[in-house]
Amino acid sequence: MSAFVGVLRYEYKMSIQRKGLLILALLFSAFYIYLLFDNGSYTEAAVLSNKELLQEAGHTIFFINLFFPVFAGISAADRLVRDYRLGTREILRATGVSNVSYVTGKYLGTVLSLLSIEFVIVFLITAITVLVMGAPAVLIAYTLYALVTISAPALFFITAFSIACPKIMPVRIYQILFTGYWYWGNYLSPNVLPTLSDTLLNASGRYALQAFFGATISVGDKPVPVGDAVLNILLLLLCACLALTTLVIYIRQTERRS
Amino acid sequence: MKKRLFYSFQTFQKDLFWLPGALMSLFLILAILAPEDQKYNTARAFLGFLLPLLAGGLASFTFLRDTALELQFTTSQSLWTMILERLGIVLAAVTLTSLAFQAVVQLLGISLDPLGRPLQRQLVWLLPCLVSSALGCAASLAARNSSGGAAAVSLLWITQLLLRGWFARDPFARNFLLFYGVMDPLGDPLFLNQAVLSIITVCLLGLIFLSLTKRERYI
Repeated sequence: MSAFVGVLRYEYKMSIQRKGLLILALLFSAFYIYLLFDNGSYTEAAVLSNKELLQEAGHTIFFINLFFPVFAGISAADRLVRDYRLGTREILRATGVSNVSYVTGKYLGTVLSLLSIEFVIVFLITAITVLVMGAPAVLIAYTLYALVTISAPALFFITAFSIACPKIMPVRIYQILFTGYWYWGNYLSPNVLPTLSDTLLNASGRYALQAFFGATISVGDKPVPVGDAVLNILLLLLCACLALTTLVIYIRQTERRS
Repeated sequence: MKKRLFYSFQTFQKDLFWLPGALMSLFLILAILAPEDQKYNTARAFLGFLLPLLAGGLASFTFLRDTALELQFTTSQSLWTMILERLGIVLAAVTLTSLAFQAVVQLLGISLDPLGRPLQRQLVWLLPCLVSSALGCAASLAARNSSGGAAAVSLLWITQLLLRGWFARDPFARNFLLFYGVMDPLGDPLFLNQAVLSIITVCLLGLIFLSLTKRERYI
């Protein structure tokens, strides 16, 4: 247990201190925040009903989810392969840390660091809305709820694959393909190409937004049952577990051979 | 000069060459299988939307993944030569892919005439590729991390792709839209858009040069 906590803490501290990537995330966040308020969101925040506030909170997180998971996937892609490239994996093996503790510690450390960054971005938006635009404080709770149901499953899903896949392909190939996947698998219309965007494997948070927040994305959207949204989240988490399990098995096999 | 180019070529991993080819093959298959009214859109998606992502992603790794970069700094070659060689190899691979793709789609009977005359058509993909490759390289050097460059290119790409309607409608923002050329190839604002993208490329190349003058950052 202490090995797992040690790996988690170390990975969290390493991931959260990548200044270049943090600056990039904040620059793009500033642009998205500008667009959000320029679009008229929250202009009458003080008079919105609780239901409307809930929808706005959902829309805000869904909007941030357009780009933040791409940042998450790219920055998580070199976390594991870096250890092999720098030779620190051998040192960690010598300490007796199990493969399961190593992989799960790395994974959770990375996910928690990404959630922390997104929390800061979302906190900034909420602070502006509550303090400057006079929105009720209940918006803070709604936004946290949206972060947990819309954004967190996507981050758990993406980080698992971003840690696992670069073990079997070059990092830059993964980063390019992942960026293309994020658009193809979540936003591309199925009328254009066969895609995952209209399946339960859509990771953009669309199901949670429509089911839990009563919001729509485009005119003519059919309501989504709560069961579908729950199934969507569970499926994403299951895929993440499968990816990590496969990674542990793969590491065990390769280290046995070497 | 030949030996330096050969060295630069050798330091690149071979995915620089098979990845563009693989993606080109995929889009050719998609174009063949697409309904008649979607074939052109599939072809222009590859040229105008995918190639800039590819160029930027590959260019992010041109410098910092070279394990002998410090040795390169001790040689007498000028920084501009180093920059142009490394980015040139990436752009050469992307150019070959684009030209091969255009030749094959023409043979398949898919007309690219809506993108303009043959020379005009090349600017539709070349300028965005120049911007994204310069951005990828500059951002990776600024962050001292190849993933920083890849993140900058990917974030710009996904933002501009998902919000392309907003960018195209805004008279100021449209000048920074990488995909304006493929969305409105014969429109009047295209000249200003391409001029701005060219200036951005030159500025980013300048940033790359300035970053490399501080060599101690990369040792």
